[in-house]
Amino acid sequence: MTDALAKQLNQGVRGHRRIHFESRVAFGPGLELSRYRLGNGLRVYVLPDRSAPVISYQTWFRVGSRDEEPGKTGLAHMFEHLMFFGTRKHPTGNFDKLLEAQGAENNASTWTDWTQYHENLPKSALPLVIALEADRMANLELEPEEWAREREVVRNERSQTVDDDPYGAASEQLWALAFAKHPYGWPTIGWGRDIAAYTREDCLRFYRRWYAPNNATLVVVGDVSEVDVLTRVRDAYGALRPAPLTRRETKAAPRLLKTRRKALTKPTPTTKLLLGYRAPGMLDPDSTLLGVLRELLTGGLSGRLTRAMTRESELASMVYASAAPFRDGTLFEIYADLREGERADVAEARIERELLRLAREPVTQEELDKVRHQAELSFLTSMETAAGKAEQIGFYDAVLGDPREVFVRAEAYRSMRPEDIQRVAQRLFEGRARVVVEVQPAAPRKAGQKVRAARTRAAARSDDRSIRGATA
Amino acid sequence: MAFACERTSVRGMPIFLESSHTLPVVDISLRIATGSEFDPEGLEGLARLTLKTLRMGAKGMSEQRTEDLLAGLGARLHVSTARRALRITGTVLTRHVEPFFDLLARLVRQPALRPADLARQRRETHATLVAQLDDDDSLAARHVRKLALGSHPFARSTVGNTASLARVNVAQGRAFLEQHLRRGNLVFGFAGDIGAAQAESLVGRYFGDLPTGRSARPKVPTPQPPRGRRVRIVDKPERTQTPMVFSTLGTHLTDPHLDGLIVANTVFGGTFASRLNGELRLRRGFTYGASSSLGRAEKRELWSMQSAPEAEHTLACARLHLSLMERWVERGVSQRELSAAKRFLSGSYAFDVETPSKRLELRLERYGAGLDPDALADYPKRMRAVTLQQANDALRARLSPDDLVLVVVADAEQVRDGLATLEGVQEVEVRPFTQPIE
Repeated sequence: MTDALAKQLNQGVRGHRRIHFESRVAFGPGLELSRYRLGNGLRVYVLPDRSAPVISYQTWFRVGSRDEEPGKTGLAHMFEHLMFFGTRKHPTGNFDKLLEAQGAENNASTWTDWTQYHENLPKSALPLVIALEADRMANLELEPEEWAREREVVRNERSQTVDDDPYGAASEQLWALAFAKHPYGWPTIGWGRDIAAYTREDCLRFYRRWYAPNNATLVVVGDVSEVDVLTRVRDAYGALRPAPLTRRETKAAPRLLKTRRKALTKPTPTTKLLLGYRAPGMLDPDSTLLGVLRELLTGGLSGRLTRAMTRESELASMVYASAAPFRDGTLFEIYADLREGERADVAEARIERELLRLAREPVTQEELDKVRHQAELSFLTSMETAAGKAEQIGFYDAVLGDPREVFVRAEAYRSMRPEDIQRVAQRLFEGRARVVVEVQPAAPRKAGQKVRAARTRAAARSDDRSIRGATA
Repeated sequence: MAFACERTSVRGMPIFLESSHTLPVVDISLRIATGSEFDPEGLEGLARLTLKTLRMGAKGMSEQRTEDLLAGLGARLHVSTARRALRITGTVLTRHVEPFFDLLARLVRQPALRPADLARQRRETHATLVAQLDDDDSLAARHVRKLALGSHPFARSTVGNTASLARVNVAQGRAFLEQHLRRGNLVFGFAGDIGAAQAESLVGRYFGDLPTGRSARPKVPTPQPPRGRRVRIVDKPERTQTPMVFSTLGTHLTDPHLDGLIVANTVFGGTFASRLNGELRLRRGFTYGASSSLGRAEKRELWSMQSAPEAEHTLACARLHLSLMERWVERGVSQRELSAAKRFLSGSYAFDVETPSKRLELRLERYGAGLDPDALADYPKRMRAVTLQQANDALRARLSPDDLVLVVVADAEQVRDGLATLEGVQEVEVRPFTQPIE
């Protein structure tokens, strides 16, 4: 049927605008996901779902901070910001104004392996979003003043999420210790000195190199008809040219041979402790079990580490384990916010004890069942909205090349055995070096005071011109 | 957009139902019409601490056993305390609805309320209060509420403070539950893979024999607007940026100006393309984001605008906030802006009601606030009906740029003198970030 649809849409159509049907698979209860490719390499997934009159429209580019160069870190993220600026057809500001006027929400995100843009739309706004997204994929114009201002915005974002946030600052150092010169060792937002130094030309080069239909995937989920989506996508994107993509080979990060440590001091009331163990990336089948380890350790109040740290010892007010879903390797991270006066070395020893217990003793069947049920619930709730489904499709396509991996992983949860978990825990924790960052509270300052302000109306208003501009 | 929300009741307890059999998951919500507004003076935090201790286990069941049971069912269970409601919400796989509801009912009907559990919750709450000091946005928001509303109940802490928490005991918690666990106070909601018959049966079996009665709500006085302009600096060293929040009194839930203000506020700071974000982020690059928000309650709540500029731009950003607000209130919004905001609000409503659980929560919120829960679907129509005159009249009637409080989290040495020169500011107060807000 879908082959027939592609043939119908290709009548009288040549070159890049031709649509190739690739696959159709079941995707969740009663839904079918179809995959197509345009002649210019653009991948298109369509998942009709009429449970609500909304559409999620996502564009995933297979470029992230891993594709940057030392000294130019943060460019992928900076470019995510710049994509909201103007083209010849749609001057700066139009993108948001036009979408908002339709009731649409939009945003974007960048990580090591991908950059994604998403819009949640009432179904009537589909033609608009296709036109806007196709236009900015190829025709962005970076006006120098706008570019400079946006760099300031990115600096602000970095201040908010890293420099002024004890966890943000510590996390950045943890990954740098663990991955050193590997691209996963630099922050996706970029080092502050790099953000300050790169040029508009750097950004334009990045755009020309990576923003091309053959490096992108469209995901359309919601109240749509497949033929309508494909016709519009073909007409809007078909004229875009593919780029000569050359991806740099990234050498695997060398093994951590000994534990590396760093201490920071911040204006925070309590000590923070971050531990990281090198762990397999998404290409490795063991990566599925990282989520199981996380759930066993800090999944709800029944998690082993949560119980040990926040209940039994009361060393921490919060403890959290995670493993970022990166393609070529990751860190199994443990964050602990210690209670007032508690020592980092005591907390570290307690955490290590729980990790080694996972490596040395098989988990019980009861624990395994808990993890399975929680995983099933998480999976089902992630599929509740159009945006949730689109995100699963786009993510697994961008990182592993196939959205069906989401179901492969769900099945792996069902079939795992206690010895599988123990083996992965041994691989991560038994006799392994780790990276450790602790944040210690800075000395407190003096008590408060009041200052009488000058009773003056002389404070000049510096913004009259811009206000007129905004209300014209 | 029309929905097929069912509403029924069992022994006087309303049940809201949003059935959908697409996924084998059920959301369950129990709301008890009480909350921190019933905390006696000096016992702030009683309702919250009691609810959190209740969550730790039913009689004969340790906390660990409770957590293991929940996890084994593939269920999540959360409790939260608001000024006017205790909320117990859960999500569970369809095949485990019955044992989950049984567990929920045992926790609510037969809570162990062990002194040791309460003591642990007290220590955890203290740790949470300390940990909150790391979050600059939250610090600013909590300070601004206290500064703007003073001793009004809207400014009273749901969490309590170290001194009040120390006074809370198990006997008070039991008395609190006995007073409020009555059929007239309970409202149930179900969303997802469940039908009316099963929902009614569950509620009837597990809660049908509760005593009758309803708690009489305390009378809430009308909040007084802040007078003049006041500034508080929450002093935190080494800040590279300055989270700032301006607040004044706004609107209330049955205010005839409510819809006009919703639309006008959307123009000013409700979207990415709004005036505030446009000027502060897009035109100046001052801040990662700027927005304004309209609180709503049975009496006038706070209207706020916020951003987080680099420290060097603190004063310029604060001035811009003020002049933008003055211009907005004095001159109103334009027809073009009004039309765009109305289209945004009526169009984006589809996402507010996209899933059964979202629709359920909105209906429960409206019911709890004394509004018609079934009028939810009228929202887009209401927004489309707002006229330019209504929006601009609402602005002038409800928002006063001369009566504002401003809280910034910053290195006081860097910003104090500058902020003292802001137009109309009479006092700049500096507080260490570690000093309690109460």
